[in-house]
Amino acid sequence: MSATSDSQEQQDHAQGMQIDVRGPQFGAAITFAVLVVAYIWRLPFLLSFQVLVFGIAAFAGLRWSPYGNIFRFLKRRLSFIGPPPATEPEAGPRFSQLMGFIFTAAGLAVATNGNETVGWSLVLIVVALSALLAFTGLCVGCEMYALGQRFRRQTQ
Amino acid sequence: MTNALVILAVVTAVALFSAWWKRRDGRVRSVSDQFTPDEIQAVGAAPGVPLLLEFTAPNCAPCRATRQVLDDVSALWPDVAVVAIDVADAMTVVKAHHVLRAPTTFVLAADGTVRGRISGVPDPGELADLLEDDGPKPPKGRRARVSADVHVEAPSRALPRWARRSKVA
Repeated sequence: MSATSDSQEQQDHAQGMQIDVRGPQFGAAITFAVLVVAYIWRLPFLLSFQVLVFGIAAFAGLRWSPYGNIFRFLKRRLSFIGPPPATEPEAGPRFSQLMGFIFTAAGLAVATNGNETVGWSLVLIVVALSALLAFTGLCVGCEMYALGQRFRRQTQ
Repeated sequence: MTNALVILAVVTAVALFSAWWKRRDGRVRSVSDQFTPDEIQAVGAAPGVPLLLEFTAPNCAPCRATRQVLDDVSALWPDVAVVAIDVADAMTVVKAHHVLRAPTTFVLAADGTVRGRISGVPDPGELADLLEDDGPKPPKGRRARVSADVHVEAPSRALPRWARRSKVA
């Protein structure tokens, strides 16, 4: 006997665009590569590019994410990628893009205004979290978003 | 050179954490815990029957995969009830049993004793083993059918192929 219901799916769909669960992981892999190169060779212009990518995804939505569009392009061209194994609401991944934007923008601002060590240390945090998402599928930003939602509902 | 070494250290730390996480995620953990009849009723279940209790949350793709696993496994053990409840709707129980993450699944015996606790999408084979050991005994031969029939269609999040646990053999 089962008391499970489809209420969660209805809730998810009510919360906006659904995305392929592999998309954030693909984006994280590119982000990791970009930020590793930027960090090793201390390239502010490359870091600026990543800040821009995060900003577009966070503020305009994942539909406009450059890395997300690359992923969709590859899905259309490479049949072995296949259809989405599952979808999820964009809210959690979009929040993690916002966190990425905040950390990398802050890192860029600090690094270009005198304190390179602190600035690039902030970038290193994003490198670590991108690696975690790319290698394991664990989205720390998404978990934080879920905790925040839970806390908000608890206090209402 | 120093920057490259720092990156290497970060990647190593992430790899170690990932290995630890992968060992824990979806695995049944034995805990010393008990649900009272009031708590079981509070989550919408009837006391006195074995129960698979999943705590879910909105925006939680692994929760849907967990629900599928629980439904698949419980189809082979019809005497075991399955309940999924949003953590926000059972805060008292969530706090009493230190539920920090969704999905978290409890395997409860008929008397409310926690036989196992799982964070993440449960491994169907381990869940079936737990039900076989502690729950109502399935008819002879059912264990073999669990291996063949139970599978997770939607991964919690698409893991790289090398990181995925092998599906139930």
